[in-house]
Amino acid sequence: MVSLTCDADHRDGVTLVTVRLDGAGVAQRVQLANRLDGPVWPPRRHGVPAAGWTDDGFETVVPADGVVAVGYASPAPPVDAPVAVVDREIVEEGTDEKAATAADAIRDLGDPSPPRDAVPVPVDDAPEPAAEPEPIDPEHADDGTAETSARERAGGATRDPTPKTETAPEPSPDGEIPAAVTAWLDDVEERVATAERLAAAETVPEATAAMRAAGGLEEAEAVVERLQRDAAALESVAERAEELAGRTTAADVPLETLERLA
Amino acid sequence: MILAVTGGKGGVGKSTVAYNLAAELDGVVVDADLGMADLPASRGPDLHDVLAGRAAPLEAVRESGPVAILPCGRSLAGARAADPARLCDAVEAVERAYGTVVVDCPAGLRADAGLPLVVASACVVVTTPSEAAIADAVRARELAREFDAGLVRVAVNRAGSNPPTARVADLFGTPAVPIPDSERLGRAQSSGQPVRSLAPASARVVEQFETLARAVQSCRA
Repeated sequence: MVSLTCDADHRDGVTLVTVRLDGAGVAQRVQLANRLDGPVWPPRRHGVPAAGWTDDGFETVVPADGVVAVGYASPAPPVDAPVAVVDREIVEEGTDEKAATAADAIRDLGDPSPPRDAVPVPVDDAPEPAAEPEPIDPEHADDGTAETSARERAGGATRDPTPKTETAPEPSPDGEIPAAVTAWLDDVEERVATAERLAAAETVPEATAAMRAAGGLEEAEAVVERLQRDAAALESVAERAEELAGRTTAADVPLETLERLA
Repeated sequence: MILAVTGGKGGVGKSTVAYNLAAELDGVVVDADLGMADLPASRGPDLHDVLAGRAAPLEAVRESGPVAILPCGRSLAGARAADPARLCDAVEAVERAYGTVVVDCPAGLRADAGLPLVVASACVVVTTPSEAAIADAVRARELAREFDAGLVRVAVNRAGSNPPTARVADLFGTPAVPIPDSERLGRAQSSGQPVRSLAPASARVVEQFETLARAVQSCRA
C-alpha cells in the first residue's frame, strides 16, 4: 500500500503543505484530498494548475518502487493531517497515458494572450475623461472587453463590479474620492450652509433674507430635519472610514510569498 | 474531421492553404490566429467573442462567402479577453455541425499554435523552399507529433521553378505537394475567394490544392 507522509507549515498567512508518497511494490493510482479548512492553491505553470490537480485535491500514479513528492498552499490554518488518501487502485505502469488536453497545451507552451499592458485603454474610460465622451467604436462596443481591461488597470480601490450605466458612478483615478461620495458631501455641505445662514440671522431682515434663500419656512424645516439624518450618516461614515483606513495601513499582504506560489 | 494547417514560420502561406483546402473539402475554415488574424472578417461575432463566452461557436460562422469561415477579431483587447483553452470545444462544436473544419494556425510554437493540434486529428504543414521556413516547419511538425495530429502532407508554397520536393519529403517522411507561384492565387486570397473561382480548373495551382484535398480525404476514410 502506498504510504503517505505529509506536513503543513504556516508562513506569512499561508499554509504550505508537503506530501510524499512512497510506492509499495505495485503501481497505484492515488487520489489525495485536502483536509484543510480552505481552498487548495495548486502549483501552477503558465497560470494553469499542474497536471493532476483539481479544486479539492490531486491525483497521480505512484510507481511501484518510486516516490512522488507534491506540495500545495492554502490560506487555511494548518492541521496535523492536512492530506488524506481518499481512493487508490492498482494500475499497470505505462498504461496511464491520456490524450493531451487544452490545459496541457497551455501548461506546456505558455498562455498566448497579449500582456495586459499591451492592451490600450479606451478613451472613454481613461483616468482623465474628455469633456465630451468619444463616440464608441463599434468594434469595441461589440467585444465589450475594453471596459474590463480598463477596470483591471484602475486598481482595486476603484474597481466597480456593477455594469456601467448612465447613472452609475464614474470610476475615479487612484487616491481620489469617488464622484458619488463627493456629490453626497457637496449636498450635505449645501444644507449645512443653509442652516448656518438661518442660525446666524440676528435681525428680522437678515432672517427674512435667509428664509427666502432657503426657499421658505417649509423648506427650512425640511433642511433641518434632513440635517439630523445627515449628522447620523456622517458619523457612521466617519467611523467606518477611520476603521478602514486603520485596517488598510495594518494589512500586510505577503505579496512575495503569493508570487512565488502563483 | 478537424484538420490543422500549421507551419511555424509566419508569412509562408498557411492562411492561403487553409482557405483553399476548406474550399476543396467544403468545410469551415477557422482563423485561429488570436493575435494577428489573416482571413477576411465581417461584422458580427468572431472567435474572440466565442472564446470570451460572449457568442456560441456556430453563431460566429459566416456562410455568406464562397467558403464558410469563423473569423477572428483584430483587437488586442479582444485577444486578451479570449480564453484560448476554449478553442478546442469551439472547434469541435463547429465540426459537429459542419463535418469538416480546417483550422488556420498562428505562427510560432506557443499554446495558440499548439491548441489546434490538440483538437485536430490531422495536419498539413506549410513551408516555402527557404531554409529558415523549412527549419520552422520541422519544429511545427514536432509540435503536431507531440499532440497526436498526424501529418498528411507538406505543402511547399511559392515553390518556384525547382521546388525541393524530394528533399522536403525525405525530411518529413511524408509526400510534399508544391504549390506554384501564382498571381491568381494572391489575387484570389486578397479578394476573399478560393483560387478555383478565378483560375481555370486545369491550372496547376488548382490541381495542387485538389491533390492536397484528396490526401486529406484519404485520411478521413
